[in-house]
Amino acid sequence: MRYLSSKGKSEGSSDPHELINQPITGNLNTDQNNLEVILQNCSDLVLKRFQFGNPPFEGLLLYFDGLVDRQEVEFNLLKPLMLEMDMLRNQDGTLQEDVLESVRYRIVTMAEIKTVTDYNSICHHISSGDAVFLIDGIKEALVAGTRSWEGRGVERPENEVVVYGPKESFTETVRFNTAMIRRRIKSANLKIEGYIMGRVTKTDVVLCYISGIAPPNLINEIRSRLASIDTDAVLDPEYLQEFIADTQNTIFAQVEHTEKPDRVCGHLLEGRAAIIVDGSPTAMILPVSFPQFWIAAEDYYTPFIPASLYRIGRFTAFLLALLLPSLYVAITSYHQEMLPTALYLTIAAARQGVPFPIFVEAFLMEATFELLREAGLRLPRAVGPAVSIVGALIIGDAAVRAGLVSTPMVVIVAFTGIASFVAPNYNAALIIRIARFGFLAATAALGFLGIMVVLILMLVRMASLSSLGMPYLSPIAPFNWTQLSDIILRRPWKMANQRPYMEGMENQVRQKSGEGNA
Amino acid sequence: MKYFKLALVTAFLLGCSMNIIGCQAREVDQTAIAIGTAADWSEDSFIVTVQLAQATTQEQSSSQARAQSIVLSERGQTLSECARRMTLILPRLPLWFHANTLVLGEDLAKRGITDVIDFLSRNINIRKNSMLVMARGAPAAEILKVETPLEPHSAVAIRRILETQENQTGIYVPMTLEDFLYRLATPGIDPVLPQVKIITNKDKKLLKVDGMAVFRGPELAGELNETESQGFRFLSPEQIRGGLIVIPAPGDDNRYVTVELISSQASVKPVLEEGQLRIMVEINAEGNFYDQTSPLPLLSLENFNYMEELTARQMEQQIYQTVHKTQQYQADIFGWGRLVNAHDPTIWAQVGKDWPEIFAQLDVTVKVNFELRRTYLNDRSFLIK
Amino acid sequence: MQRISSFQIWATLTVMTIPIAFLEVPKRQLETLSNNAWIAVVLSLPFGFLIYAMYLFIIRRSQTPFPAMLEEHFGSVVGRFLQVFYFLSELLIAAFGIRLFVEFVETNVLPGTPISVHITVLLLVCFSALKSGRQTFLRTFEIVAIAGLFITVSILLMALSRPLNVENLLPINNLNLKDLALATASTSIIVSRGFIILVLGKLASDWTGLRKAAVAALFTYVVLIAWALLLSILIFSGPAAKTLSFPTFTIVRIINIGGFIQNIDIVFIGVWTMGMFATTTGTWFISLISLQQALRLESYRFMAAPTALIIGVLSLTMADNILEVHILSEVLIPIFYSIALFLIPFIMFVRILFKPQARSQPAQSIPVQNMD
Repeated sequence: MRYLSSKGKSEGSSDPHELINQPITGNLNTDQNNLEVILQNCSDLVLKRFQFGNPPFEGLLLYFDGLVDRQEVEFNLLKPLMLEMDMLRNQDGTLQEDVLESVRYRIVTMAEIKTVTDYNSICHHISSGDAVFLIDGIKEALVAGTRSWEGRGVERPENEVVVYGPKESFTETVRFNTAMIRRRIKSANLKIEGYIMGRVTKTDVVLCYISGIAPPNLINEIRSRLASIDTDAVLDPEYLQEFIADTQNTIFAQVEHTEKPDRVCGHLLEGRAAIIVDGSPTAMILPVSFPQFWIAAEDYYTPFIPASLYRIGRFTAFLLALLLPSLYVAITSYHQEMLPTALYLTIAAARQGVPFPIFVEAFLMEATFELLREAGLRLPRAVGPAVSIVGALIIGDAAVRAGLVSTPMVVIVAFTGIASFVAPNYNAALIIRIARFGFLAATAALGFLGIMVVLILMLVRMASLSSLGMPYLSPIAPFNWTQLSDIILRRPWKMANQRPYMEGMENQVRQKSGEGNA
Repeated sequence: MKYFKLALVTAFLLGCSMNIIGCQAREVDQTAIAIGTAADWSEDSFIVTVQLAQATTQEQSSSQARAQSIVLSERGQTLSECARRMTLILPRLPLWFHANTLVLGEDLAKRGITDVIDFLSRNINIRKNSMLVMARGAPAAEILKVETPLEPHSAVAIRRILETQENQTGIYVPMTLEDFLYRLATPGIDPVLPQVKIITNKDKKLLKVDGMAVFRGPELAGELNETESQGFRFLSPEQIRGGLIVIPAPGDDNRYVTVELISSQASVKPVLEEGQLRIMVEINAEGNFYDQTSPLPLLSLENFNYMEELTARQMEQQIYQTVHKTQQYQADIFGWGRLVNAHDPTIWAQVGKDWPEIFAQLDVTVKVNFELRRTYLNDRSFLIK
Repeated sequence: MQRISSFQIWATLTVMTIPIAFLEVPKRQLETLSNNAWIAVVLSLPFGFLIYAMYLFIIRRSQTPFPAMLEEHFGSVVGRFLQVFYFLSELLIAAFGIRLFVEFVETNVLPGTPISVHITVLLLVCFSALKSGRQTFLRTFEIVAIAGLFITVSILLMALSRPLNVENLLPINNLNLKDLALATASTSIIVSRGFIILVLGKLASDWTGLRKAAVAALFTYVVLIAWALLLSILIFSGPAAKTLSFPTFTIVRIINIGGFIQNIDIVFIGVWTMGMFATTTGTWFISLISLQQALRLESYRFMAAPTALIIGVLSLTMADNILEVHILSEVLIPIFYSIALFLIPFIMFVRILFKPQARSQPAQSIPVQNMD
């Protein structure tokens, strides 16, 4: 680019990369030319020259088509300007001294108005959907908030299905998302701090927390980590997660993702912070500890006894999903004495004629299941169910009949697959899916001892992780008896007088004890 | 550099694990399940017989003939050698730990248990809760070869027979290896095992549990018949449930009344009187009136008392019979020596060495209190008008 | 250095004392005392109290945690020499623990696998825990203690389903007092494996919590071992249990509930592996920080790799066969425990008691190395 314009830099050189940082000149023609150069080849740009007032002022309106509400622009910006020109005159007929002031405070009937002084901000604002209005002779431009675009409406969450409870999910517009949160927490202490991240994408990122509940050093830490991010693009909270999370090279997720505003609010009330990124319907919640991955939002909308039982069932499903294939391989290959004789006979009968050793069989089946799962994600809706039925049922059945795999193995793999879907959080399910293969490999080598070794290694790894200072395995280790009751069982609200403790929390008392509300 | 090291370590570990994979693994189709084991002695060597279960699926088992178990034998100089030599004729690795029934041959028992006791207690593959029986009248291998009705494997059949008859006829006390070893190791109590015989019923061979073998220490001493075995059961220190006792009907000596035993608890006390050791046995039992073959109306209060008396006398008589028989064998299968030791170790210190002889001379008093409780569906006897 | 909660201290003491004792102690007590073995374990409760009281007293009156404590009380030269001695002796104790583990697993679980595989695997796991730092492995100890206790208690409860013969506990009268004394001593000395409290005590967050944790750990130890021993006697009877090499393990083997839950020895072995991992890590940790303090090193983690080799080789060459291992465990190791884990702290205790003011070296001048 540079060598093309080697005729030297001069005031008003036509290099968009330099022009963009210059301030508004005030000369409307120059400004228009500069802006046309900066925004060349943008066919969705609308540039309108118009006149208003008497003697007529020249004005320039720019916005990107598709991002603004045209009605707003025409009725609340152009119409007042063009028609209410009298307001520009004082009582004695002379012109107001400060045209900008009058235009801004008295003529234009928009709620959001501000001024900017350089082309960079102009471009940023019109990219965000505001309309920018320049007046000849004035070195500031007016930015009017006219954002409106086509977006997906508020729908049911796709990945977090609940039986009872709110079924709203976030959309891709950050402002609507924050509105959903603000609606649920009507306290003035709900702080929503805005940042702009990404050199190219300049995405709006907000950090939500409730001041007075969230520990101040947590928020400061998050702020400093966000401030240190310098990257091209931020399209999704996952992009930020790599910069914010404590440890990178691990399969254990250290943040939680959710699509539902009520879950975010529940977490905010417990002192955590949420990060929402424009363009993504997923909110990121931090800090988070591993046992929390097993808490579903729905638990709080069900009475506490069934909720506790389901939670215990979920923990068991987690263990099963992680260990069942390895246990099967270990018991049938190394420790046959553990099985009752009749069961072993059945397994032996089913395995007659299968050419692979059990470990290979397990590995193949698990890998096939993972493939099926990945493929199922990308299937178009029309063929989805048919292909999955074909894949899962018929291939599995045919494989068994051909004698390639044994029926108990199919049962085990199917059961494991189902159990791994029990995780309410996708990241937690990822952990299971990856660790399962590690367990299989260790079991093939050493039997049950292999399972124990990998289990201990996993424990050690988890114990060494922390999510923004909160130990990854709390409240199990470091042991905290009061918090543990809300992890394993769901503590009824009457007993939950204190919030889960985090370092530096100020306001731990949640409710008065003993005063049962009607 | 850090990732390079990590990659190197992972490759190293994978390489190592490749060598270890399956170094101890026994694939399912390389193994055969041993359901029952028999040990015997003949012609100067031990014989170990194993009954293997054949794994068949549902479809196969209903269509195939009942060849669901295979019985193989091997000889050797020690039991362990025999068991391992099995792999010379069997193409699969036998999984011994599923063998829950152990049949000891008569010849082996006569030779003395001392030869095999180490094998039974030390070997990791023999579970201590396996059922132990002795084969009488036939080599142990033959016992395993008999086809039992409804149960594809005779070893399992023996175990089931022993378990079921405890509640139904209540004659024999099943003996596990754990009990057997306990009795061998503890002074003052001797081992005893149920016996299995082969009977022929219209050209068909069947297994029957018949009698108990009595050991004096590690030597085979003798045999108890059915009545005496039931007497032994009455004396067991735990509460026993279930069983049947047949008494002559009151008022009609040719007919009988069946009494079902609900529970019975024996309490045994050694008593030292004038330098003489006596054993006082008191048994509290209760039962139901189960059946009468006499047409007379038997269910009146005085008949009840009379029948209680009859049952109690019958039980006492059975017990005396058992005690006398075992005293003849000088085998203290009831554990009275242990009881004396627990009760008063000083006495045991004096008599312990000669306990078999002293046991043979012991004076035993048995008192049974029997209570009849219920009569099932009929309150009164069925009278044909 | 971060504070340690009292729950972590309880968990650490529990996993340091119980795993090896659970398999070893019943055998030794049954051999000397037969059916009265459980009395020795119950009697070790007051002695255990005394040992812990001594440790707590030492902690209270010292200003530095363990390795530096030796310099504080014994003077610079003797202190550092003792630190090197502890480095070597804790390595030996760790190696012995590993050898015991390997012997056990070889006998009962995987008879064919070469021993080196087992040793390598266990050392690898402990190594990764040590490398992650003190906070991490203390948290792992918590989980191991909770899970291990839970499963062990369930197994012992299930064992109650076996026929229990109360008469096996008699006779009590012919108790030889000398045997009883020896047995109680050998049980109590295991309590001194809670030696690690001298390291962690100074880092505990509060004093009463520390005392409660120590008492709770002692009770846990005594209750579990006594229960296991009682079960062996009730189920097998004294003389029969004498012949078994691992009575507690045999109890686990014979549990059979409804014909379905049977042969669960492998579960017990899994739990025991976790316990052994924790014990070895704790012992190894003490040895590494002793050397760190002696040589005034910045961190102890890098020494984990070379000492892993030392431990591995030591445990392999320690004994030729299981009989020698038994001789070690019955004769040599208790003497070793007494010297390293009891005698030297006892001398410290006496020193503090009788010369309270004359510290050999002002504590402030001892640079306490970072144990994180």
